[in-house]
This record gives sequence, C-alpha cells and structure tokens, in this order.
Amino acid sequence: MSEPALAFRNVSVCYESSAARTLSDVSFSVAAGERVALLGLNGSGKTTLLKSAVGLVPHEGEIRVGDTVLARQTLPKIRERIGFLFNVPEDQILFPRVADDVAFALVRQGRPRDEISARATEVLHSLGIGHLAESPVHHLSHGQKQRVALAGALVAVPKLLLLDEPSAGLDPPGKNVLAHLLAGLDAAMLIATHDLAFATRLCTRFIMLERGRVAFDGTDTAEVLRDWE
Amino acid sequence: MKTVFGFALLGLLLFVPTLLLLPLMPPNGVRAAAGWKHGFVASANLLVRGMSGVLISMATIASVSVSDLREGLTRLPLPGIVSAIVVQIVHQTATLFYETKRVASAMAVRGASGGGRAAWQVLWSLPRVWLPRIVDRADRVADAMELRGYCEGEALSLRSSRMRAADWAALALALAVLGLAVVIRGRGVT
Repeated sequence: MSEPALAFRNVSVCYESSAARTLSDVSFSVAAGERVALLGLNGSGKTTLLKSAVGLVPHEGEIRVGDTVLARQTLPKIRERIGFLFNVPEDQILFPRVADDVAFALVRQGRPRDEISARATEVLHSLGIGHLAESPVHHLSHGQKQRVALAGALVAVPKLLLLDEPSAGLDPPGKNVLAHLLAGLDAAMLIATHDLAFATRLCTRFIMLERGRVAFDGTDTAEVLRDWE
Repeated sequence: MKTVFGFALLGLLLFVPTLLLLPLMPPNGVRAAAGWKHGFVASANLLVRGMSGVLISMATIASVSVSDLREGLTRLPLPGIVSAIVVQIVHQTATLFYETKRVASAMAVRGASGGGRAAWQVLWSLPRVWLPRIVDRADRVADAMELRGYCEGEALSLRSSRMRAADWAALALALAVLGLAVVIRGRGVT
C-alpha cells in the first residue's frame, strides 16, 4: 500500500495567545489522489489545520507528508510538494505582475525560462485568466486575484493541494471552471470550505471539525448535509 | 504624463513662498549690493533646481513599473534578501494605498467624510481598527513569503532582459547629460 499524501496523528495546536487548544487530538489521513473536504463552522480550526500541515503553526503530535515527517529540517522539502491557497488571496500574491507571481515556484526551481513561461501561460489559460498575464495585480477583482493565487499554487504540479476556501469570491461560472479543473488533477486535496455544493461536487470524503476536534469523517453526503443543517 | 504634470504644479506651488519671501530677506555677504535682484535670482535658482529634481523623480516613478524595479534590484550586486525585501515593501505599499482608498470609500459611504461628530468618531477609532488589520496582514504576508520561499533565491521576471532601441537611446541620453554636467562643472559657466 502506498504512503498517504497527508497524515495527521494525534495532532494538537495551541496558540500562545490562547489557553484553549485550536486543534485537539486530530487524526486522519488523505490518500494519494484523494479529494477531501474539510468542513466546519467559523473558528472550528480548519485554517489552523491547513497551516499546521505546512509548519506555519507549531504543533504536537505527528504530521506526515508522503513519507516525510514534518519537522524543522524537512520543511523546505515538504513545502515544495504542496500547493497552498490562503483564504485571503491578496496576502499570497508577492509580485506586482500576474505572470511573475504565477511563475515564481518554477523560477525558484531553476527551470528554463521558456518552460516556465509556457507552463505559467498554460495554467493561467486553464483558469480562464490567460488575458491577465501582463496585468498589474492591484487592478484585479477579488475573484481574479483568487484565480491568480490558485494558479501560483498549481503551477508546479504539486502532489498535495491544501486549499482554504478556494471557491470564495468566485462567480458561478468561475466555480464550475474551478471544480472542473481541480477534478482533472491527480493531486491529493484537502479543501477547507463552507461551500457545501462545491465540496459535494468535487470531494469524495468529508471531514467535519467542531471546536478543533474531528466530529465526522466519512463519505456519506446525506449525513454531511444533515449535520451541516 | 498627467501625474508628472500634477506634481510639477504641486512643486511650483510649494516653491511660491520661497520665491515670494527670499527677495524680502536682508541681503548679506559679498553680493549685498545686488539687493532685490539677487534675491530673485537666488530664489529662481532654487526653484529651477528643486523643480528639476521633482520632475526627474516623478518621471522616473511614472516610467518604471514595480516589476522593472524588482528586475533592476535583483540584478544589482546586492544581497538577494535586501532586494527581495525592498521590492516587497514597495509592492505592499501599493496594497496599503489601495486599502486606504477602500477605507476612505467606506468612510464616505457610511457618512463619516462630511465632518462633524461622526467623522471625529470614525477618525478616532480608525487607528484601533486599521492598525491591527495591517499587523494581521503583515503576519499573513510573512507566512505566505515563508511558504512560497520568497527570500531563498533569485526571482527574476520572465520578460526578456535584452536591451531595446529605446533603452539604448535612454542610456546614450543619460551619458550625454552626465558628460555635459561634468564639462560645465569643470569649465564653469560665465
């Protein structure tokens, strides 16, 4: 049996500013190629969970990405394998021109310029924003920024995608394009979202967080809908 | 062009007090006899030099995009981290500028821009609302920079870095002006 793309074992997170645990004894795994929705109310710990998977918040317990245990020494290796989408796209856009931002992961890897340019263009077109390649980021709408940030996460073809509210701010056609695009990828995905329609369309498994604990982990869409309402 | 013209006008306005006041100042030194005329020449000199500085700076800012600035900085023999941080400061300043505009729009829509007590209330609470927002954003941007490996290596633009005809022309003009300045400085102007 192959290694899971992501595995949490008894993971807890406690921020310095708060006495209560944001995540408490969380265990689950995401198989290679599996698409899992991470559901939960505001403040249930979804974003913290995603951030802990890339070492942005300190944790107790064990987190594995593929065959590698998350630790200070393994962070660069782990982060290279993951595409991450923050819930505020503006925060992760680090370059003023769309094409530069999208291409960044490939530039870091030292790929040839022609290849970088072709791949960045391909990703931008696949997200329906090919015409924005030369645009200044500040002139884009929220939905367009969301797609630019997503393009930056997808460009290096990561094995694992951690997406925080990917459909937020997208119009219905945009959501359709995104769902279709993500469904066509081989990567494993953990998608934190409030958009149940988007989640049920894309994901085959649902994990529901409640006050930092896993309250539900299963594939039964009807049960998820009942719990959600 | 509009921006440059606007700043030129603003610069001119800023120099008006100097222009008006200098002739009234008591003359001293070797040219005391020149009086009012000397005062005018001195202030006009200040005006021309100052305005040239303002115009050159504005023209540079207007013609160099942040991408070009990043490209230029990363090619300078500076530590990579320094140029990366400088570019990020410029980029995030633009983000803050647009955020300021959004805050101003919100203030206008919610009736806080017309003056009076409401405006003072909003202005008073603004630092307590806005500063934590900026700090939070800085934290989130720092997370993204760390996660995307922003400061680890060189990050150059994909655009071609070959010199175009316009670049050669600008370079030649800059060198000519520099040469002229050196000659004038050496020989003096009579």
